[in-house]
Amino acid sequence: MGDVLLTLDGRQIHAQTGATVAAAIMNNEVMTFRQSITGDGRGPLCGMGTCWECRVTVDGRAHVRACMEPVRDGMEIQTVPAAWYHPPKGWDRCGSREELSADVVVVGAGPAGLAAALAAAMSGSKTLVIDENPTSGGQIWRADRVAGPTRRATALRQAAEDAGARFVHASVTEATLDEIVAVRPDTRPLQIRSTTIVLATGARETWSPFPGWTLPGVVGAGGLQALVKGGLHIRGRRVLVAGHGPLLLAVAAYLRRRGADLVGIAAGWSRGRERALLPRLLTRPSKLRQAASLLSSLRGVRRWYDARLISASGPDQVRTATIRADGSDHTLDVDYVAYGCHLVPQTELARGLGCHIDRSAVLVNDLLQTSVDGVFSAGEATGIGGVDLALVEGTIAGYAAAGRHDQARRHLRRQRRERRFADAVTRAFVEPMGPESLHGDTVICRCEDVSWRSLSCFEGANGARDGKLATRCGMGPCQGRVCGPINQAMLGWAHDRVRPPLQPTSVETLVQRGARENEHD
Amino acid sequence: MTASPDVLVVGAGIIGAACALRLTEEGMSVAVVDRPRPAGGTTAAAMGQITVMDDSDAQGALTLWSQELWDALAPSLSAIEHDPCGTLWVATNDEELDEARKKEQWYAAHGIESSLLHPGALREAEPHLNEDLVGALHVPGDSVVYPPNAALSMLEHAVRAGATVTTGCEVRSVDASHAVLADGSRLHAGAVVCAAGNHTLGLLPRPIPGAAIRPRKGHLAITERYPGLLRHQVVELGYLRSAHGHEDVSVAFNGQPRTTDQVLIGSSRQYDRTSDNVEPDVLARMLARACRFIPALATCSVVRCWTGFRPATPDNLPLVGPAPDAEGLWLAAGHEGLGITTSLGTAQLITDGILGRPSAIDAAPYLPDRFAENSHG
Ligand SMILES: Cc1cc2nc3c(=O)[nH]c(=O)nc-3n(C[C@H](O)[C@H](O)[C@H](O)COP(=O)(O)OP(=O)(O)OC[C@H]3O[C@@H](n4cnc5c(N)ncnc54)[C@H](O)[C@@H]3O)c2cc1C
Ligand SMILES: Cc1cc2nc3c(=O)[nH]c(=O)nc-3n(C[C@H](O)[C@H](O)[C@H](O)COP(=O)(O)OP(=O)(O)OC[C@H]3O[C@@H](n4cnc5c(N)ncnc54)[C@H](O)[C@@H]3O)c2cc1C
Repeated sequence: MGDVLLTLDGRQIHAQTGATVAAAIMNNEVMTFRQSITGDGRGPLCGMGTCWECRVTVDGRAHVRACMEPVRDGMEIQTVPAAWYHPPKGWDRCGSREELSADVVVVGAGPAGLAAALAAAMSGSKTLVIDENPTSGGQIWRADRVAGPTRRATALRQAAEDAGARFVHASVTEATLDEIVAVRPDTRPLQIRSTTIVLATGARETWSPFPGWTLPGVVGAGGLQALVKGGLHIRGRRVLVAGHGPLLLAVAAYLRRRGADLVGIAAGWSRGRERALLPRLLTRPSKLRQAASLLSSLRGVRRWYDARLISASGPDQVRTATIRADGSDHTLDVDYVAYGCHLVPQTELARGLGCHIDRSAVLVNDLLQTSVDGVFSAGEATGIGGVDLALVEGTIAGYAAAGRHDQARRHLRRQRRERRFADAVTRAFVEPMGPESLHGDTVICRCEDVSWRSLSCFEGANGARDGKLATRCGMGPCQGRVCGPINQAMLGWAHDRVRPPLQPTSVETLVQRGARENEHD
Repeated sequence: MTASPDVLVVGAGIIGAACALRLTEEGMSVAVVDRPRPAGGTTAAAMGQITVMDDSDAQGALTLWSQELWDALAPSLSAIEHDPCGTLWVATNDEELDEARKKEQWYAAHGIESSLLHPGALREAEPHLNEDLVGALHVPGDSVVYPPNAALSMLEHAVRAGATVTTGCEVRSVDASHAVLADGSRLHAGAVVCAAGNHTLGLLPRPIPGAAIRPRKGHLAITERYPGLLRHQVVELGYLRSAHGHEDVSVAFNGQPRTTDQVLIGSSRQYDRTSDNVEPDVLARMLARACRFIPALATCSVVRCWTGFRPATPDNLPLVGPAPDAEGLWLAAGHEGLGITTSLGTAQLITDGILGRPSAIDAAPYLPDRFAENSHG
């Protein structure tokens, strides 16, 4: 793979073809991507396009997510906002709206979406799959931008395409029962009419805030993995993995295989609960093999149980992290903290469609139909359960969406088995989120720099709207995707209402999207 | 809540909040009630421009007086993001420039500072406006606030002066000196001020001949932060045509710089809409209009869109004063697209009315019974 040449804040840098802008920036020892509204330096957090912390100016266009944007030869990147207001370099008017139709539209091409697309297409439905990532695979099978996509994702996508499914690269920003609206990478809007929708939007990481969690270098665990897959060099870097949820061990093993120097794993769960998973593993040989391989990749890595990350510090980026474990505090020198507190389902589209939500997940019946006719959901969106559950749910939802209930039912037993296993994994590794490590000035809403002190008085279900109006919490570009789950856990906030567009969208795209038929250009 | 306060204010939008503040400042005991929360109605959706409007003498008098009251009050309110950014009324052609000249004369006659900008000066004042604009009227005295916090801050002051604010209180009806709640219980007071926005007239014991409040839907969109993109509130001179027109959907450009460096883009006007959903075609027209005035907006990111319902009356003036035939019941509602501005003048009119003293401006044009045949004129 070749090199591309670009400029970063006026200096020439090299990057690998296929890498993300975020990886290119960090590989050049720049960790601060932007200044927050109170002047704090910030860098990538989620690595997957939901938190908007990594936004930079690219070729004169401000607020571009560096983790989602591939590098191009001659690209100009700025981490400090510059004179942007002339039409950006190379900017062409956004094209007029493109219209498509399908019987079944699948949103998300992760394991669940791929399986759903395959089942629906094999049943003879005209099937369209939309994902905002250029390659299919979702989070677990996220393509390594430099080395290429994963085998399983490629094979499943190929099978779905062979069965007639069509794949589209776009972000869905709006969904009603009549149409789905998505935005192409070139900002052009796409309008899709369909009779049936399958929401396979997956999950994102969540974090319990602690002093220092906004420092550049404190990154999501899955987030750091995603950044490395986007081309970030991790070899020889000192990484502390901390938090809870089963993803942490998978990420730690991955980072170590890529040459990271793991200074330790500060696990929030207890050794006893982890051990209690063993009997169940013994009944599932394939999972036992996975677990064994995971543990062998982590051999020799220091592990603390019942541990808590209590602070991160370093003037400009994280230099040390302090954990509390075994009754004392340990301060470790680090280059990165890979931190996560498990996952939350991505339910924004489902909520926009009016689907009922139960304990943060899309509520579905046994055939994975939501409370809204014609809308199905599968995978992490219906509750966190991992890749095997996502695959079988995708298959059920795909068949059910195509009207093949008989076929769908054949997979129900396997689904129950995976669900039981997933629940056992949750019991082993997941901790409730608590406000123990919060200080009054710990930032909760990273887009608008709203502190715990100013939010803690907005308790209860109404807090979402009251707190939002009074403090701007959740009003930034991430639209509460980061602070929402935190405030729900700590303050009992209800989900706030979703309104389109579900993510920041350019003015021109919205103009084209709403233009009446005869008003195109 | 006090057993029987001097005044019960129904509705804690900007109008109710301002009334509560002024009444407590006069030493009265005040109880404010609202349904789910204070400042959650139209007030939460508004742009927050404090402006003097010349569309009628009565509107001019109320807005001008209100602006003076705002300038005096704003420094004592907290977190209201008060920004004395001024307004630019921009002209796309000579006809509109004539309108700007007339406006200038009107402002001059009322002692308000304003000046005509030729295209060069306009470019200097606002570098990113479309170069084809032929000029503008600059009104430096106008300002901008963040409406929900303005209402909350007024309530906070009122509470500090002894007022009570009770939420979760659904009022079913109001009458002379009492309100009936949804659970059938009654709240008594020396006087009742009904400031329930769009819902005000439905709470009254009997209709007021000719008076009406029609919800008028408006769309807004706010961008990401773009430092230096916009410095003044910029309004197209065609705005009043939109505000007073009776088309099914009308759209006029109104751009507002926020202290956060975001640009708030408005606005649309529609009657007879029940859903508060963002309508993609209306949003598209509104944003296209915005790009016509500020071409650089085209590539900017919109982070949120929402709608609100302006409480509109037949003659575009609010209903402020005693309810006919119900001694002790007062109305303060129907401020259409100017309620943030006119909240303070309204509160003063109500306070003066309750205390039985004359106001600094003539109260007659706003009296709720003005629509009746052979009323005050
Ligand atoms: C950052 C991260 C890393 C992870 N890494 C691992 C791992 O290493 N090992 C492991 O076992 N599990 C991992 N997981 C758990 C993972 O969620 C599941 O294992 C599995 O990927 C779930 O499959 P899914 O199809 O339900 O969802 P996902 O794989 O999350 O797929 C959802 C897809 O929907 C797309 N999407 C969502 N919203 C939109 C929209 N509005 N428009 C267009 N596209 C949209 C996303 O781009 C994504 O491709 C990770 C999770 C996260 C969040
Ligand atoms: C898009 C848009 C832009 C605007 N821009 C501006 C601007 O730039 N400048 C400006 O001056 N004005 C502007 N306005 C107008 C301004 O928002 C309104 O005129 C003003 O907010 C009206 O305030 P209110 O208190 O009468 O109504 P509301 O804010 O609606 O308050 C009424 C209150 O009464 C309560 N209530 C109603 N019924 C009951 C009941 N039965 N029991 C108990 N409580 C009840 C409600 O819950 C609510 O809190 C704009 C409006 C819109 C929609």
